[in-house]
This record gives sequence, C-alpha cells and structure tokens, in this order.
Amino acid sequence: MSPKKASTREGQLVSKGDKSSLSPRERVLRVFAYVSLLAAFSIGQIANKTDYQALLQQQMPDAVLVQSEERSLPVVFRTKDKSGEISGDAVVMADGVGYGGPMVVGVRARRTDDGARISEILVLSHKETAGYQNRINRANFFRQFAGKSVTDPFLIGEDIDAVTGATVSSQGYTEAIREAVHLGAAQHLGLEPSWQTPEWRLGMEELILTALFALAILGAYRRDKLGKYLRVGVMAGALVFVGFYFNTALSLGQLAGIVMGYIPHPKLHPVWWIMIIGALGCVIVLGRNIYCHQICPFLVVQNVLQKISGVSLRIKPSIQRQARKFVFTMSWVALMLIFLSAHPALGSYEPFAMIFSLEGVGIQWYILPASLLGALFVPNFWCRLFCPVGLFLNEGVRARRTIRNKLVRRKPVTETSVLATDAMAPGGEIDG
Amino acid sequence: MARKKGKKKQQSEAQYRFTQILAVVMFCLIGGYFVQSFLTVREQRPVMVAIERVSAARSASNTEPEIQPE
Repeated sequence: MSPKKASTREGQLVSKGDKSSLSPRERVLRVFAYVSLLAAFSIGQIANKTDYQALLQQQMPDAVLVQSEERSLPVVFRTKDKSGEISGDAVVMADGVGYGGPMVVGVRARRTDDGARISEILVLSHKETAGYQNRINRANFFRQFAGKSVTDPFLIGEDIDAVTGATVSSQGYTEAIREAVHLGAAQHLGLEPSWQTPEWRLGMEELILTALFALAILGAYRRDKLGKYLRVGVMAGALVFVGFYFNTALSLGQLAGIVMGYIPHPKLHPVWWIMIIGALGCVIVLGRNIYCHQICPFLVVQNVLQKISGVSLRIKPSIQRQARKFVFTMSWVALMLIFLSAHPALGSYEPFAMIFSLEGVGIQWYILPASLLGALFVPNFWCRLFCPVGLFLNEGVRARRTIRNKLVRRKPVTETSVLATDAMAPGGEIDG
Repeated sequence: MARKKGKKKQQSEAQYRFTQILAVVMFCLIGGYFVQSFLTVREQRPVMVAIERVSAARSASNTEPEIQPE
C-alpha cells in the first residue's frame, strides 16, 4: 500500500500527531479553543449549581420554606403555616444521575408513629430528553412511591417498577429517592438502617456487551477469514444490541458528561461502564479505535445503506482535506453549549438517539434523514465529515502514539510510519 | 496480506457537486441545531447568573464580621 503524500499546505498538519507542524494561527486557535472551553465549563458549573430552595419554591410558590439543620445531609425543608407554626410535613431533597445528567427531586414525607411515609414526589430539575421524561410522566411512575414507608427498600424490580423504554431514568430517580429517604430516616428520625441495599446485577446484557468488545478486539488483530467473519458478526451484534436493544451508542454529550461528573453508579448502570471502559480502554491500552470500526451501530447502518444502494461516491478532495477542521469546530461549538448549560443533550447533534429510540427535538429530525441520505451515496458519510465521537477517539489514538513514541524515544511519527503500521490494522484510525 | 488497490473510477463533476451539496446541507442542519440549542441556553443566562453568584458570594464573605483580637 503506497503511503499518501504528506500535505504541505499552510494550516494543515503535515504528519499525524506532529503538533510542531501547526502554523502559528492554528496554535493560537487551539489555545483559544481550550481556554474558552475551560471558561465555559467554569461558568456552567457556577451558574447551574443547585439552589434547592429556589427550585422547591417554584413548585410550591405559596409555601414559606424553612431549611432545617443546615449543615447536615440530606437537605430538608419544612413549611410554615399561616400562623407561623412549622408543619409536620418535610420535603427531603434528593440528587441522582439519569440518562441525560443530574436530577433533583423533592420527597414530601409526613411523620407517622413508625417513622414517616412519603406523600408526594416533586420533580424539581432534570436533564432527561423530553421523550424519556414524557414516558416517565405518562406511566405515573412517581405514584408508586406515595404511601411508602421511608424504611422501604426502593429497589427497581423489588418494590418499584421501572418504566419500559426509560429504564435509566427510572433507576436514576429511584436511586435518588432511596438514598435521600434512607439517609434522612437515619439522620433526622434516628431509625436503624434495616433496609436492603442495591446489589450487583450482571446479566445477559452485560455479558453480551463484554463479548462484543472481546470479539471486536480479536477480530481487529486477525487478518484471516475468521477475523473477517468475526468483524461482520460483531458489527451485526452491535447494530442489534448496542443500537436497538440497549440504545447505548456513544455520544459527545456522554463524553462531556463524564467531565462534568455525570457518572452513574456502576451497580445501577453497568452497561454504561462497559461501553465507556471498552471504547476508551481500547484507545488507551491498545492504541486502536475499536469502537468506531466495529462497535458503533451507526457505522453499521451506513454500511448497510451502502450495500443497498451500491453507489460509492467520493467527497470533493478540497472538502475532505478540511474535514478534520470542520469536526473540530462543530465539536467546539457543541462542547461550549454543553458546558455553559451543563446539559449534555443540548450539544449532542448526533442522529443516533433518533434512529435507535425515535427520540429527538426539533431540527434533529431533519439531521437523521439527511445523514441517511448521505450514507446511501457516500461511504461512511457521517464518520468522514461530522462525527465528534470519532474525532475524540482518533485524537486519543494520536495522542497515545505521540506519548508512546516520546517515551520509547523512537523516530518522530511521520505520515509514512503511521500508515505502514495501520495498513494491516483495521482497528486503526479513520482518516478524515 | 496487502489490499489490492485498483485504480479509482473517475468521478464526474456533477457527482462531486452532488456530494458537496449533501455535505453543505448537513452542515446547515447541524448549524440550525446549534442555533436551536443556543436559544435555549440564552434563556438560562448562564454568564449573568454566574457573575451574580460570584458577586453575591464575594459580598457575603466581605460582610462577615472580622475576629477582633482580645
């Protein structure tokens, strides 16, 4: 395979991973990009810091709220009646992590002889996409908490039923309520912890996803027929399970959410952990972007469309050469929106959620058919020109190579040497 | 085993134009999505809220009484 000639046009990278070849203008732009992202992150964290009292007051505009025992957790508010007397009701603030990010609920409870019982759940703030939250509301999910004792286990599958198609959101809300109520029962009511705690649930879903990653890694290193069948099998499995069944394709919002601390508990969402560790682990440990080449379900959709159409057009070389810059710019805009709003869904412009779960807002519904139409005619249309996840993972591979080469004091990475090692490695980078 | 790379089929200008249009349409749609999100973020006024909170925190720490030496 003959190596590509390195481009020498000003403003473009001459060799992969060789940052010293950047023009001064590119360096300034990069510094500006990182500084502005840091500023947006800081502003977003300050502006979106939870103000429990303000959130609760929005839901209870006529109530006079008094925070009790300011320095202890969980945060508890009581209401004053007209005569100024503090009522027996308390509202316990509960924080959790759902599909789209953090959520805050208020658990209204009333004292009883044996402790306290929940009377109402107030959803104060959430970052769930509209579709999932609507499913939660339509199923009257919170009604099942009313009347429960604060010492009940509050476990999905035990005494709480999740909403079909909004399992992660259901788990997030339930976990938030459970932790706050149990902590409140122990701290404020002095009750002994007699309730069940969540246990590890590793079933078929987790096994399938782990097997997909393991087979993908094996397929990436085998060049024989078995390797080819493995790769095809993994891609088919990824479309069915990662795409339609789990709907857990990686997105820029998820990756940004990690930076913002939106990390679900591994006991409650092990599939999320397997996806992240698998994709990032392959980049860091193996130096290969296995996710983009075999696990990404949208890649499989594009390949299927290509096979259906049989048409394989190329992008104009002038556009193709600038593709990496385009994706960098779009990713920067998306991350600015995500960090400023602390809301991952606001910057996730990928069409994955729409195609696999039929969830989308506004103009997103036009991005999906446009990307599918493009994929009919141009191989990997989305991956080549628009995918921020691919950019992030490929940049991770580049960074790993650069660091590794510096550590072992090899020759500088050149276009030739990178392509020579990638020639036989299907798990390498996708060229822009 | 190295992949055989045959000569690429020549693509007509019309075909390049078609793929270019597809790409431009996608960029416009993604730009539209960013505008949609920006309008949502603008309602939250994160910069103003952050400035207000930082100012409030500073004035709260400034008004705390100093510890008087005995």
